[in-house]
Amino acid sequence: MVYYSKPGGFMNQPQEQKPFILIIDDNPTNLDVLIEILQNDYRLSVAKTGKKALEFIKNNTPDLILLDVVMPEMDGFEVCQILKSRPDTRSIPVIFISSVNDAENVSKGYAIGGSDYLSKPFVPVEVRTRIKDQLDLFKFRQFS
Amino acid sequence: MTDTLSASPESYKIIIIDDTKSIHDDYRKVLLPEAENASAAAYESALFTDGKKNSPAIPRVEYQIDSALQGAEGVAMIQEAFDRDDPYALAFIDIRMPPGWDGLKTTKKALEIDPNLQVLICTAFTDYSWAEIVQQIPFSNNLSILKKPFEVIELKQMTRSLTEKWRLINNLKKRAREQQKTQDYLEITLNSIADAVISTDKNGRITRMNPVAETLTGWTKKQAKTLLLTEVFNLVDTSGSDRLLNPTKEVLKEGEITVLPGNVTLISKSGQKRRIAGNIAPIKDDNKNLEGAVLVFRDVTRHQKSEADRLRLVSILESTSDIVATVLPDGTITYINRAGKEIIGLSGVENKKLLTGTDCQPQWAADLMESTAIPEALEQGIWTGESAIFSKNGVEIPISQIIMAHKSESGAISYLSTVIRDISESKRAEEEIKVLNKTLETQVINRTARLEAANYQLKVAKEAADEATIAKSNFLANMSHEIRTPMNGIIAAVDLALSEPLTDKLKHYLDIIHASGYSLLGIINDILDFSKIEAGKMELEHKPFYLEEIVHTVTSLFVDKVENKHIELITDIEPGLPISFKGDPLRIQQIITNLLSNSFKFTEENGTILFKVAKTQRHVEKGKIELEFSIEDSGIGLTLEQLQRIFQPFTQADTSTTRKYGGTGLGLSICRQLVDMMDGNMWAESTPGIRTNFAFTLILEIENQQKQNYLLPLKFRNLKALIADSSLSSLRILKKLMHSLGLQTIEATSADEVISIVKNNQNSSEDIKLVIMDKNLLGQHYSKTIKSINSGNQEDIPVVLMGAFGLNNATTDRHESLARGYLNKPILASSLFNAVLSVLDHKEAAVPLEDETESPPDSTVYSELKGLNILVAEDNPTNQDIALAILENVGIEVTPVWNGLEAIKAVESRHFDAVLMDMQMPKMDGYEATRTIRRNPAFSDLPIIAITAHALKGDREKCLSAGMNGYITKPVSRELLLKTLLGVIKKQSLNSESNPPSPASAEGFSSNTRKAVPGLNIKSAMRILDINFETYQRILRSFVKHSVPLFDRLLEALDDEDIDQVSELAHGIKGSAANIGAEELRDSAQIIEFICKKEKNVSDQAMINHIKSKLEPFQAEIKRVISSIQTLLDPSDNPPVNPLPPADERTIPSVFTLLADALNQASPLDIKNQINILQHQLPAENLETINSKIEDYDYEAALLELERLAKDLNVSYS
Repeated sequence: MVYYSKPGGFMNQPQEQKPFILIIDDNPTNLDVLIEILQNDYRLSVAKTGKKALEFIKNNTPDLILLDVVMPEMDGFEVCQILKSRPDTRSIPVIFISSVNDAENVSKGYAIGGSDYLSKPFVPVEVRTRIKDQLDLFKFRQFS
Repeated sequence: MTDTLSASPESYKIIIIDDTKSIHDDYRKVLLPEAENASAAAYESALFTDGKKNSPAIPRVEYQIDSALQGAEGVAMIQEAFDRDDPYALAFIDIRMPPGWDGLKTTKKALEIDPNLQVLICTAFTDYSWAEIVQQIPFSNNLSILKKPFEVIELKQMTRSLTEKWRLINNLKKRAREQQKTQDYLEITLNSIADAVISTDKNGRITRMNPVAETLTGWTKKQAKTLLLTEVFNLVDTSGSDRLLNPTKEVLKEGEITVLPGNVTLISKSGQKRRIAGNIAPIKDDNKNLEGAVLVFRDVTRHQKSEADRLRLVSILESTSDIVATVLPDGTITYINRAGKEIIGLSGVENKKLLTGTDCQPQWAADLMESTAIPEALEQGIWTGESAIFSKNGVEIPISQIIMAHKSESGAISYLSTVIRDISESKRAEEEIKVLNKTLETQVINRTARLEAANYQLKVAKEAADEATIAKSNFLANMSHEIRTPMNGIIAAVDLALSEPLTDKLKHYLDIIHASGYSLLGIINDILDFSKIEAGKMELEHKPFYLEEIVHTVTSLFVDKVENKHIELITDIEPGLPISFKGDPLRIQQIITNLLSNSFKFTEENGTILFKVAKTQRHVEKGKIELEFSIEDSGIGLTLEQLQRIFQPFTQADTSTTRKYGGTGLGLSICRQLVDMMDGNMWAESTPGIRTNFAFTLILEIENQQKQNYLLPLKFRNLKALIADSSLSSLRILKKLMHSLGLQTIEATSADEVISIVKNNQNSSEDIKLVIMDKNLLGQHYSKTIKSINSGNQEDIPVVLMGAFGLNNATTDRHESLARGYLNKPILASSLFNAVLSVLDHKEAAVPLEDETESPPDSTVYSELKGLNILVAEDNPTNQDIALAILENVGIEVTPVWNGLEAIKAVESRHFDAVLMDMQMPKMDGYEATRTIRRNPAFSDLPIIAITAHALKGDREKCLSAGMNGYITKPVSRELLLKTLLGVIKKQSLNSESNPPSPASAEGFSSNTRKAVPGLNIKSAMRILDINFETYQRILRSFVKHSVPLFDRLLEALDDEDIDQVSELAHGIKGSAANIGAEELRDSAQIIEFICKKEKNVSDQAMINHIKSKLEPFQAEIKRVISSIQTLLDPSDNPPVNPLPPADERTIPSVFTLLADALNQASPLDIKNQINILQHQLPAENLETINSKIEDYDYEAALLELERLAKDLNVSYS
């Protein structure tokens, strides 16, 4: 069946069909790590600030966004709020990635429309399964 | 929340498969709604309503949670639910569940049964790597991982996501199944209907035909498939034999339904002729595009109605009492039977429009006909309902009516038929029943209302009672401060008074006050504990403790009782238990003490109490153990009825025992609740007059896996010892303990037996080397008996006496006997080991009582405190006197002050070795004072000990976070105060003497030992990130390049006093450091970030000073990490270059174009590929700038640089 991916999920799909993920994070080391974890399974783009990300999204529609919370100028919560207020970007799942992981911030992340919240330090398997869950969910919702 | 309540909840089944029972409760706590959990409700409302009050309600979700403690059990439940067609949506599966299947096997089995099941594995990632998990479970798409520890909200959210995913998958599968079903139905219908059906594609080629079509055309489906319809469906005009133009083409062209002409004959493959009727309809897809046509036709050759049949039917219609009529679409009656004519009173109704309209029925019935009945019949083919008509006398007759629409072959309505029945009789009966029902209903409503009112009153009363209980408990819990402060004064003052020279009379009175004070404190503690538990304020410690220590402490409390009441107290601790555990030792002691004192209370003289600790058979989570503690006595026992009430608060076995035995009746209730809080169970069983057994289980974390092992040195093993006791139970336990030491035993139950056994064994090869006996066997004259044991022996056999050596008579006992050692009962493995070893090892020396070795006199212990300068800040004069007395007594110089402000002044004016700080003081409290003192870097190491009446757990954290080094709860005991002080002072001196860490270069390091270099936990970083060493090196390079400069920027920001910036930069360093495994650096950065965040209310200058004081170690740590990184990065070790793409993709302009595209797409992988290609074509210095921008992920700048480069090199690209 179309909607039920085979073992290994998205990992076996050709480049064009790989889900497209936008990573928004100002820290190059974090970007290095996330790219390392995700590059085999996903098509990736990166943005170092919220502003650049919003600019990028005007012309591109990622399947999912990984969003750092603590960033200069515009923080991740703000970026998410803007994304969720626009009809064309509202449905893109947003997963927060942050080392600010107290209950208050985690709840805030969910409350403003984040689909998931990953706390640093993370392990690759966690990042992968969580992204897969949200992409699946997003896809199934569209089918329904 | 109220708006969400109206939506009906979605319900999901969840199964938890975990061998730790408490985890099940945790999950339930998080996922099941709890009315009283207001904060959770607030969370939820913030979370699921977008934080806006009037946002649309999101459907509530309910979970039905089942539990399994083992993998196989869980899988069986999943199988059973799946077979019942009520499958689970989600399974939480633990990774390790000894002794059965582990989490991976369980997951695999579960998914084999139910491929839709979502599985969430909660793991700390110690057991398996992702690769292993994926390898072992084929359907990894159903598997999700949640890292421990997690936030409650995370678990909730994941549960929500995964159950929704499950629902959506199921819906999609269901839809697919339904589509298949529809397809199947269609096939069956086609194959079974009497009409012939042939369908074609849009070119008119046959795609399918049913069996009737096969019969009528003479072609089989197989033969006809892909032939043109015109070849198979051969039509001629019935009147002539001209072949007709087949209408299929027109249908496919026009897209309209076409009826076959009237007189057509189908000529089959074999030439057989049949008259047929039918039509051809277009097939269109969702977008109205023509996909093909379907031809439906039937053989009408035999459609000749028998006149006789028709007449017979008419005669039946004429004889029925129902009205039957047929009407043309315009309302003209074409037929009405006899009954109709009679009832309606018409004759010759043909050609009259008289079956509807106000002439023949009441207005409402006419309206019903016009607005509903007729349109519905025309549209759906049939209408049934109730209506009315007028009889020939003008009387309204209630009727039930059926109206049917009959279509002609062309599909148009040709006529309507109706059947009308007079239902006057049944209507009347119905009315009567209605009246009856109404009466009944009214009665029920009245009764219900009365019941509801009563219920409401009950509820109000219950709520009021509950509130009162909570208020009472809260009040009592809050009283702890007020009660403990004066109790502190009483007990401590009496303590002090008793240490002064006193007259006997005065000492006697003070002893009474002392004992009464402690007993009152005990009662108050009981009540406070109970209230705290009731008010939900009781919190448990989680710290390491030794089981033997607890048993020793508790049993030694009862030494005097054992002695005075002649009760045998036997402890039986299973040998081989781990040495230490984690938990709340004080609470565990409290429980055991309570149970033991109950047993002592209710056991008569010469009775026995057996205190047993053993591992249960139950399997619990790895690293934990379940212990069963049981206390069995030979006391008065309890009846079944008493047993049922025994754990209720304020209840004793009965009122008469209350009078006889006293007590608050809260003890057991507290014990039960404490055990509950520790995830254990507590129960009691009893045979009245014979025995009572109280037992409880606790699941404890193992702190030290090492087994309790008291095996004697090899040279003493297998020696023979004689053990003697009149109590057989005691003897049995002692035997077990002796064997666990490695000794052989011979048992005896009397002194005479001992003497005779010793005599008989004399001079044999297996001499008895040791005698351990109960002192009570010796009778009045210890020495005499011991002498007679050894009379005639060449060498004295050492004798160790067991018994309750209470403090009062122990000394005399010892001096009079010739025993070599003494063992206080109950006997613990450790004390037995010590006693036996000492006796065997130094046969000459007498073994002192263990008590004496354990606590050396004050003078040596506290001599280190002598000469210290200590500041005491305390507003209560009594408490200040007590503290002064205790401290001065050991030679400490004390300066008292009355509040926080004075304390700060004093600290700033002269040197103190430590400060004792009461937390509640006027003008400035202890917290504030401590924080202020700490802000001055000069006092960052000054030991400050908090003294507080607050016994709640949070207060301790509050004190420590304010910067306190220690914490003492009132009432202050001399011992605790001095001990704490000593601990703090010792730690202090240790810190100042400790050596700086050895420099990085001192440790030998080769590139092969990639485990750890100073400052970097490489192994952990690589494992956590799941990367290879090359990738790790790349990340390190990036760290040096990007994160190290952050430190300089942090210094700049600090100079600019831009605290937000400092905090942000520290945060950045913290994150990167964590990624590369630079744990100490991460901590240093975190401290800076923490100061920035937590000291927002402090003056900027003070905070900057505080930060500056932490900079030096921070900087040192950075240097250490950089130097370590450099040893890991070989300068010649450049990142590997990808293989080159084919030559035609490698022209410089095309690579520039691709690189520009990749930069525009901000796609790191594509960018890397193109840069790698360019590196082969352009000199390295050309690419330096652009490379650095790219590594910095600054793609906009890289794009500009690319343009500049193109200009320089004269490359044109699009």
